[in-house]
Amino acid sequence: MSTKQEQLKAIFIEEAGEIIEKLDVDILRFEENPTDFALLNEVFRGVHTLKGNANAFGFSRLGGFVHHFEDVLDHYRSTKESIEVEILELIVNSVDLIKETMTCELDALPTLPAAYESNLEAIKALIAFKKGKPVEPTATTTAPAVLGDLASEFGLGCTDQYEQLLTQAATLMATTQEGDERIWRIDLTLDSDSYRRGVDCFVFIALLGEKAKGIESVFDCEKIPALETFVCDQNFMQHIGIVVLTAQSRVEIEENFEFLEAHEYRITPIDAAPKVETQAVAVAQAPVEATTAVASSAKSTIRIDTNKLDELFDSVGELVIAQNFIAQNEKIHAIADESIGRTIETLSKITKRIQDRVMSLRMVAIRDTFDKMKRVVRDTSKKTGKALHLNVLGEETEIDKTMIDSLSDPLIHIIRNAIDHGLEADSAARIAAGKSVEGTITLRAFHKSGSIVISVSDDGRGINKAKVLQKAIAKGIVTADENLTDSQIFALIMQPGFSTADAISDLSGRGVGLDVVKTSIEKLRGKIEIESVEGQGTTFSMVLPLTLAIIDGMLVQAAGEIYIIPTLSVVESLRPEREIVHAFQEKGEFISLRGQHLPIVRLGAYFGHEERRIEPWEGILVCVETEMGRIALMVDELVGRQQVVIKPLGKALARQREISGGAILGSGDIALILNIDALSPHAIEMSHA
Amino acid sequence: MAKETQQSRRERYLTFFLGEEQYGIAIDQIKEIIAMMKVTNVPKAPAYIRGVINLRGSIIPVVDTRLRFGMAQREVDMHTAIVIIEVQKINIGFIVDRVEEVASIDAASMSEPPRFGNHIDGDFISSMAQMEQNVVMILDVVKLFKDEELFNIEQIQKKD
Repeated sequence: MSTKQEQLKAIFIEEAGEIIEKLDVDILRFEENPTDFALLNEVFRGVHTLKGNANAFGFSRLGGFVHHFEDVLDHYRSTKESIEVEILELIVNSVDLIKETMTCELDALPTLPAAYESNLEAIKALIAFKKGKPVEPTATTTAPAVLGDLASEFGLGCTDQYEQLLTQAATLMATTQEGDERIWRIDLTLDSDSYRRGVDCFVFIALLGEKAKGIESVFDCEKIPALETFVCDQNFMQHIGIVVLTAQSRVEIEENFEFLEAHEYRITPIDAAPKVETQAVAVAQAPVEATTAVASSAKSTIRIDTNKLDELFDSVGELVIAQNFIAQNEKIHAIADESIGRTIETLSKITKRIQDRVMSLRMVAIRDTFDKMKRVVRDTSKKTGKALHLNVLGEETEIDKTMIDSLSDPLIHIIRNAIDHGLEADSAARIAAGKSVEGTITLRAFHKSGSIVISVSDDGRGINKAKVLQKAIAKGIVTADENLTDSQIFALIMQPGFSTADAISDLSGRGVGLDVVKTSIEKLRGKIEIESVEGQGTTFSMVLPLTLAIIDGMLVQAAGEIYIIPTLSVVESLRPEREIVHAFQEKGEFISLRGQHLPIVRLGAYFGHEERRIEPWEGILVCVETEMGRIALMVDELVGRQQVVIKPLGKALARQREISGGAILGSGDIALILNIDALSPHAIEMSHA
Repeated sequence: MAKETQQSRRERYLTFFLGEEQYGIAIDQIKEIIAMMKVTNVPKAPAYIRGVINLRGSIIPVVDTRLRFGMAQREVDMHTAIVIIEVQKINIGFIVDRVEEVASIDAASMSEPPRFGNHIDGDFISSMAQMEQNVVMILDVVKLFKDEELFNIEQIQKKD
């Protein structure tokens, strides 16, 4: 089987996915700021790559569409004409359509998205209008049109276009020109027997490309005959135009062509071209565009197998320990040599730096995911006709990359749900409720109790408890005589087969309900919490474990072992006065702290290795916030506070509820990280029940 | 000639002692052998899991093999070692009294384990091998922890 081809295809799919994802974000940023032509350039580049790739893999329907879309972008990009709102809408929709068409192509579906034809027509009409040509007759099937387009793309119909493409390329390059770089145009005129002389134009392009910042070539394919009359050793591409942006001098460029006759090539600098006007504009904008180019190149990414990262992680662990050994070795210290001392110091610095870098590798800011969500919010807002404002908080919160990938879908679902069902049906209802016409959706990411929480809040009508309960009873999910708490009632809406939407809308309620969201979050070993106040709004919080995240931990000592409490859940730590400690008939101890009564959990005793019993006022109480309320953990002493990497304890100990993982301290010792939610007396009771 | 064909059916095993008994584990399941090191106790874990160790940056559980086999615990001495076993990508350390050697055992000298009178559940032992004066019990590492779902947990998670 053609495995190579399949591999290439897999790469294409991955790349195309990335491009489309980036398009999505860029186009939205562009919508916010429609004069940012550097951004449009970025979009154009993405679309251009996508077109080439799609055609190369025979996705002609995608290719065809993208081709026309590219023309539209190119028009605005080169004219810098201001873009009307309707056209902007068309462009944004087109990106959507590209996404959908891509899916159709991948699944080899015979049908195309419903809007394909109409959108393509709209784009064609727009191009025709912009170019001042009459509207083409509508093509009944797209295939021939696509073929025609490809022909005009690769085989140039007229010299006009040949020149036009070269000029375009030169203008584009002028935007990134800097320093002593110049733009050269090279025209090759080769005979039909050039191959037999060992001359291949692609060699020149490759040679030039090596030293160039940008290179673009245009082939005159007019003379290429039909396949039947094609002769493989004959050169049919006799005119080749190359535009190159390079710091090389004319002499250096000429060296590449030393095997050609003088009449076969012509090198002309383009800078002196008659287009002084546009040149000036381009130069004026050059600094701005150059910086964006740098920014985007700095963000380039590389995909690495996570297993390799894990191995790297472990190796760095070894490195750190070996380095510590050297740094603390007394024999080495005894060597009174300044250079050795200095080298060891340098070694520790470098080791520390490597460790920090490697640790951050797997963690990515949630920003990109949130950026995608902006798009979802915008679309949903348009479709539902609800005006709203989006607040995004905690974009910098770092989260494990593997988790981010599986977060998008649940998040999209919850957001759509919040807008569609959460917000009031229309502005009149909002005004009646005394709220501003614009609804507010808040997207937030933050750390809490050693977890990462991603929440979506709306300021809509809230969940109607009575209605939910009634429906759940009607559906037989619960019985009428069950006594449910608020959060239990809210949780009902995530049960399979539960949907309170009276009418199934286009957005949510497509057969996949919140129960799917619930399952996918549970797969990540997370959970969903719902809070809602009727008339004020609803908050959906996805509480996710950190897996490999770095947390800020408080190191405590109890019964000779060091444990780590996630600092985020620590409220305060204190040595209590004897007066505030109370015992409760042998059932337990608690302290009264500013009107609150916190149960005391003796960590050492709970873990079953306390030799001597000390009184709470002799130890330290760390007050922590758990799911089941605040508790006071009693420890022997506080050791310190530091950032630690959570490592799993291995599958053998995966069932240890009280321990969420381990961390390796600077000394090489292991400290266990406490899952304080499992330590509250209530949780302990439940696990014993 | 005959001897050569026999040799090709020989397999290599790491042998170690627990008290007076000699055990063997197929060499390809063994990742490394390390000297006894500091083990961090994991509270609420089964008694035979002694705790976790820091093996050059990764945390792996360590099993007290004596306790696992229902023998009495023993003081650590200079021969005590941790045999790190890797099965199905999971690393687990086994504390043993003394590591003996890597022995080539002829498949012909292997026999079915007896079904009687050992304090070790016979399931763990895949076969018995006669080596000079000694009998070596060859352990089936996967079966060793089947009951405790050490490996099964992993499999269940993969199915999700």
